Amino acid sequence: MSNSLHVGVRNAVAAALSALPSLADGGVVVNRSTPMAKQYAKQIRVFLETSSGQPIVLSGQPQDWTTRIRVEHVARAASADENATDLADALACAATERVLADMSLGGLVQHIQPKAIGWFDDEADTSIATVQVIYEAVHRTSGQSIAA
Amino acid sequence: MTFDTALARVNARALSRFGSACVLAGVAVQADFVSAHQQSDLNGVAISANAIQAVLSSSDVPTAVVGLPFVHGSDTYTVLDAQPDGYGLTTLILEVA
Repeated sequence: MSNSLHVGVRNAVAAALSALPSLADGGVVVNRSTPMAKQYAKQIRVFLETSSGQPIVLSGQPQDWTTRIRVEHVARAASADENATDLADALACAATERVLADMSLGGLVQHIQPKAIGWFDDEADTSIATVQVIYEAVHRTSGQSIAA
Repeated sequence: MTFDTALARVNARALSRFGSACVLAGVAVQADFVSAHQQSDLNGVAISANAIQAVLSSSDVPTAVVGLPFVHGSDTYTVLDAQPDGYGLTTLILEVA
């Protein structure tokens, strides 16, 4: 049994973000909802969200998909002198450059692009923040399968 | 006796009474291991599972504990998160290794 091409797209994004040198001490986690542990200052979290398919006119025709990938760039400040939103934002900038360095993800998709960005923060022992980047990737499967 | 000393005694007694012998990263610890039912809702789809956690003395928890093995009985788990309560105890969030 194989995975969908959609999971392959998510994995390609995660692989681009995992390349060395690493961007975050907490690494890149994929589709996990556990919180970033206290021992880490930064982490990148990749989620496969939803995918919508274009209508097929002729039976058996290949199908085009628009797949949403959410990437969370999480950071915590080390002290009151640091701003976690700025740290997460810088992480998001570096991470986005990684993903968009090859907008075909090695030929897996027609293109991938960021469609929305959100900045969210909170206060704890130090400030904590996440920058959420929603990517949309356009790709194609055969008419009979969603597998890669 | 200071409040902190009394608190440490209460914690130690509670773990002695309700806990069991476990191993965290190769070191013997006394921990209250709980594997309770958890029902998750995945966009309207209900799934039964277990939420696994262990409560132990914060002094027994290494700083970088995430990813370390936790053994209870013959079962081995991996530490996902450490949540100190601020009163001397820490809850480890675990998953099946």
